[in-house]
Amino acid sequence: MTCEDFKNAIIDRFDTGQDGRLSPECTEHMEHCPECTRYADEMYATAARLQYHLPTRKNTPRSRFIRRLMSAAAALLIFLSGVLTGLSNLFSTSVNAETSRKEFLSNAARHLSNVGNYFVEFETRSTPYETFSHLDATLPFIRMSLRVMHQNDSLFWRMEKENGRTITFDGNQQILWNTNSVVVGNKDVGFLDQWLHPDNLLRRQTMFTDHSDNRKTDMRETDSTIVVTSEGTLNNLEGKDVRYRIENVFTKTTNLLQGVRIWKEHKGDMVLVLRSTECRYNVALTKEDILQPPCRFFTFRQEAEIPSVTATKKQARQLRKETAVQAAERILNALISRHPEQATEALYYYQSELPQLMDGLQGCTVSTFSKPETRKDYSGIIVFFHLTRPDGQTQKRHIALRRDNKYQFWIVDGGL
Amino acid sequence: MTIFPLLRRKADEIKIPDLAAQERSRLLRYACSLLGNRDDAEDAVQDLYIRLCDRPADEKPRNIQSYLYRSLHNLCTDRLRQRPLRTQPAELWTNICDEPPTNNEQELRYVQQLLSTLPPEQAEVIRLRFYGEKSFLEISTLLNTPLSTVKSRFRYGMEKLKNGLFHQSRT
Repeated sequence: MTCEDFKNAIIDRFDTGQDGRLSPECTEHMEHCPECTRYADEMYATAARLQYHLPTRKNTPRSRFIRRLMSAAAALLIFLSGVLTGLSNLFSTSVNAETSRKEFLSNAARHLSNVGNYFVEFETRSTPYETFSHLDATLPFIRMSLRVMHQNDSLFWRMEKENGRTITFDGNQQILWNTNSVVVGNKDVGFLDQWLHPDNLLRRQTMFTDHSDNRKTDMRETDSTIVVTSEGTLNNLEGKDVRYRIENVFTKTTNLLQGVRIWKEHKGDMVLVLRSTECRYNVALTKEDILQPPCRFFTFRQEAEIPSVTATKKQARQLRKETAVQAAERILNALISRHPEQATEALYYYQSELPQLMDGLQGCTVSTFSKPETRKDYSGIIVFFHLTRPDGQTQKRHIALRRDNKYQFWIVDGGL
Repeated sequence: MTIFPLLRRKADEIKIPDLAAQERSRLLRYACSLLGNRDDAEDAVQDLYIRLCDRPADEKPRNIQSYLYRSLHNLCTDRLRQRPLRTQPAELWTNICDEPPTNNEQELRYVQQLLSTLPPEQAEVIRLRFYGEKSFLEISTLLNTPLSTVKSRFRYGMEKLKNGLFHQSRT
């Protein structure tokens, strides 16, 4: 492939109906032609700079007099701000480096939200059906991707683990495609962890430095990139401090995110648990690309909002009075004794997996329930317990419960 | 995939105002990129709609999409000609590459300013591609221009913008 062929191929990528991926020939050409790599990056960045959001309409037409009046007011304001800037410069201290790094990340987050369409591919140490924020240093890497499309002031996105959990958003509702069930929720439903949400992809990382203890941030520049690294500790599920390091790489000319890497502390070492393998901007995406179901067979479809519960007033009162530990014990015993009807409402999100859950817990016993624990970034609670297997082995497990539903019953949200 | 379901109907069944209504958001973005502000763009799209409703029902243009975008382009050009002198922010006349825009109004003015630096035929292809959300093939039909010409106009236009944005800011 010649450089001219490559440039023509890049132009074709800007046509509608393209998924933004480069052909293997183009990728191969880019590997030994830095000029063409730069050409492609700059073309995508130029297209990104051409995106805009429609400004809101001003309802009242301004008369010429009002425009003149406002021009005069603006001139006065500029004069005053000039005077004040002069004074503030006189009394200002040196620039705070941490603030500038945070400002840089905030600006980059704004850039990212202004880009029309983009595609990010990651590799993450996790399992296909765990939540997207689940990072386990002991697991091998699996592929994960995020596609974001802006169309007519609406946002569409798709977060997908290869052959696993997928979430799509069509501007109004989120759909979670799980192992063999489909859960439909409104736009605010918390299927996707907030820090990975397309609206928050960098904003949350900016906040990471605020929320973590012993934080340390660093910003360094190369010829073509700006690298922002944040390091700090966060509480894990079991309440232990775990050290994380997040590295964001930005293209210098465009301030657009070029790559992300996350390390997590494991047995004293920092282990790479997430790395982006591709970031493409202004890729041509269609609604079908975003919203198509994963290639699997789905047998269950349910609403994220819990449907009407047919409980008597007495039963409802009892369920509301139940503590989290009592609920955890009741739910687990219902599964162990193969009587899930004793916890139907609590197992609503696990309907499609009940047979596997009951098989997995057959012959087990549960004991030593901990006090409910809360986390800063989770609206439910977590109860730890000991699970004793039929062979006598005991494991420390947890169950996540939440009661932010209209009935105020405890509902299992994770852990099982 | 057909983006515009109305186009799948037989030509006789299509009502032009219906199509204009369905295309409204794309027409609005296209007009915004020409006029640089939403108020004027909305007025231009409204004028287009009124003009379409006033047309005799039996008069049907050969290519409705082309007719819509051509008419809107003419309406926007008329508006630009009639526009009285108005105060414009100083940053429009300084180096536009220095600072990225910070709000939607600035973004729009920035885009309009960028595209105004290009030859009109190249800017038109870029507008139709990004704001009209048309494929290169659709643009070639709209403009009655060969597909290869559309692609080369897009490429040269984008390259000029790219060089202006990145190479100028490096120097």
